[in-house]
Amino acid sequence: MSISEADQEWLAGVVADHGRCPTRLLQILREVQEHFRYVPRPVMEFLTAQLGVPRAEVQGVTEFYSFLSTQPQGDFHLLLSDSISDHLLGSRELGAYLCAKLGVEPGQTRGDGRVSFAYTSCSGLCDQGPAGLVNGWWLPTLSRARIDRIAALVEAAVPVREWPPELFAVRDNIRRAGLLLGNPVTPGAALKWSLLRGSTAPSPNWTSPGCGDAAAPVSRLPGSGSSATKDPRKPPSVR
Amino acid sequence: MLLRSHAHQVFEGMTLCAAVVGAKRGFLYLRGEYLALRAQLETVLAERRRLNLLGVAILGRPEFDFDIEIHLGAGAYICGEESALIESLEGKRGTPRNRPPYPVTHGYLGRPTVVNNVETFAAAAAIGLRGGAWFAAHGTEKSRGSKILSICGDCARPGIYEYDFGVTIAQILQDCGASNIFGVQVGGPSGVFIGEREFDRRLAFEDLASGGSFMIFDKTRDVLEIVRNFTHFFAHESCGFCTPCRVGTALLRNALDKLCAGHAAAGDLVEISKLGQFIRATSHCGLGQTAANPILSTLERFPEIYQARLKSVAFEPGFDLDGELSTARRLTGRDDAHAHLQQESV
Repeated sequence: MSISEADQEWLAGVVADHGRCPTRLLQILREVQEHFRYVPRPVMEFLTAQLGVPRAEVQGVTEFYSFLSTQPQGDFHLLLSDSISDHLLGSRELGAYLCAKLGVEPGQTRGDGRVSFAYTSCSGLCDQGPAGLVNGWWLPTLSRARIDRIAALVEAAVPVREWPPELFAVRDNIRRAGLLLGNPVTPGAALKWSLLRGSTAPSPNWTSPGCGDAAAPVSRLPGSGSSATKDPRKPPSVR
Repeated sequence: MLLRSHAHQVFEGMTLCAAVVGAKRGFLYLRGEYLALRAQLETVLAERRRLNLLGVAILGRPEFDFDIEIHLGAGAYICGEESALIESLEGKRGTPRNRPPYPVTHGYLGRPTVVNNVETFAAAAAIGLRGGAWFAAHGTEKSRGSKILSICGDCARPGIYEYDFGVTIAQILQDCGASNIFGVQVGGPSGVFIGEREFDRRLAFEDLASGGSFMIFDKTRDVLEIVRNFTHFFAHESCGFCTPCRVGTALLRNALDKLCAGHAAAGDLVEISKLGQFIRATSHCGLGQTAANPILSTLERFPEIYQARLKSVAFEPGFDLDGELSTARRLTGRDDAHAHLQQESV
């Protein structure tokens, strides 16, 4: 299997964006995963050549992280948190319901490639469970009714960026503010005061080696419209 | 929550830290599950550059140059360990390094590195503004300041609660509307499970430490199922680097499965306890050293619950007959009635 010319061009652009820097390997692989829905072998070979990182390391990194896969995931990749706090809220029953509804098995991709499903260790939303992720985006407070809506969107192939925002609405859920949350710092105030008090050390000249100065490219995923830079491919300007 | 609504303060704490140690570069390691926060965090960073709170000559100070970039994780609990986090920042697998040398002298790309969590940086900014005495006036003698808790599980009002250190568990349970409580897991899977006899204990480093996780379980819950969940979690999240953790967490998982399926005997409990202590003592990093905590802390407090699940105290089946056939079933692709063995119960 090989990758198309268009894909190769896309890949070369991504690698260039990251300054061909080996420390950006994981960030590059995340973009590859999003683009192809997995990390194809020819891509690993391409990255090996482009970044000068051993092939074993590219594959090792791919296989290490749960959010990267060596097998194609569905166009819609659904994850459901398997944390105990989600269990208490009936996540396992919801997972079975979702699988039946969409005709998928945990850990597998449906025959038509439309959808895949898996359990994941934790979604980071234990106070707003049962929670999941679709293509990396939070889905809090899941219920059968919400899963019905999600299944309909998946079957109608509605891109995730066009899904109703309320499906993604995460709350801060602050119930009790104390010392820190009750006394927020105005941007700049702490720095100004501390510098006035003169508690800073003289800066030694640590400079970053090699390609380290590439700023992170801004997300090109849904919700990134509010990003401050016009061209998301360019690193944010530094003044 | 801090990154959603107090990102400026977290970044301010990082910048303050940079001013103190003379760093030029900072990273926010954003766990993969928090992808949804990335765009707004980039916006906050851009705003701080506009306000001259990041970038070159910050606040007009020559030689005070510092900037922050966001680095996304990809679903690995171990990347919360500081040296694994640094490996991941370098684009590698998140396996913990040998320490010493510690990150403070040999961290990112072998350079001196400060690794802290968002709550610490937010607190550092607040202290930078209001002073150390303001912060130290709260909390206990050995645990100054406050702790932000994420409370979930069996309570009327799950969510974020901030308390001065020293608050009792009973007070927290009352505030979040928890009743008929069997126990609380304080500090996440790596933490400790306490029962109602200990609800007068305090949240503090010298008593019950917590990274922020606080899970509540009422009396309808089966503590062994809770422990089994945590044990499966660690077996999945072990990075595989060191043998005690890689093999040990899998053995603990199998032992808990056997126990919950009703096939364990008294000897198994002894084995579980010995194995747990071995993993705790010999693992390379904090993940392995704490992986047996859920088992050991509940086995110590509620031995009767474990004993009630044993098959027989006199008879010790070495293995689960039907379970042992699972490999053969997988190899032959069979799962019919004849491919299963019924084990006699005694």
